[in-house]
Amino acid sequence: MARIKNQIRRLRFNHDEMTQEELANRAGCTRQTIIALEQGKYVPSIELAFRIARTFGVTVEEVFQYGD
Amino acid sequence: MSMKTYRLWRIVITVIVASLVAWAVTTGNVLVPIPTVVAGVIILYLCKRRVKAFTEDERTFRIADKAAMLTLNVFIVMAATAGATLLAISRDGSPATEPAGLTLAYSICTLLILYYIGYIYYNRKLGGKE
Repeated sequence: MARIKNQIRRLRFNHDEMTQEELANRAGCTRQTIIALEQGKYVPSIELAFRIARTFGVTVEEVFQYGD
Repeated sequence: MSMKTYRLWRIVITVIVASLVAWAVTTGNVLVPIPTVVAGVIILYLCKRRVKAFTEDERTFRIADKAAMLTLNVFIVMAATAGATLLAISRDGSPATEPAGLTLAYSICTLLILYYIGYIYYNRKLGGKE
């Protein structure tokens, strides 16, 4: 499992239960990538991380955390 | 076009193209395979353009990278083993297997040369040049 955790699921919920498909379209990736991110199976590039953070209107650190 | 419809079309077109190519190969019809494959690729490309959602991104490219690397490694090992076996058999009184063994051996060499050319090109393009 990746050591980078994320809050994508929670942020989607806080943004009027945004669907994975909507987030994917707005961040410019596939729905499968969002699923993989939420399951912690995939670590995104810095560019995608910024795009996801921008979609939610938060900083990258609020979406992704580096943990032990 | 939705992603689900696109996936369905992709399967249908792949099956049709594969069937036509298989039929052409078994009947010895050399004119059918190339236009069939080209038409299939063009139709799939046009279908892909009509899909509203993203069909590929960095993750799909990474998967393709890993799959290509795995394919390369497995093919080289298998072809080297088969090629060496065929060449060894040809030395033991079955000269008919020599062309096949040499073809496999040269295929591996070509593949490795292409790989290293590609590696050097992308290494320079992505800033690895000292």
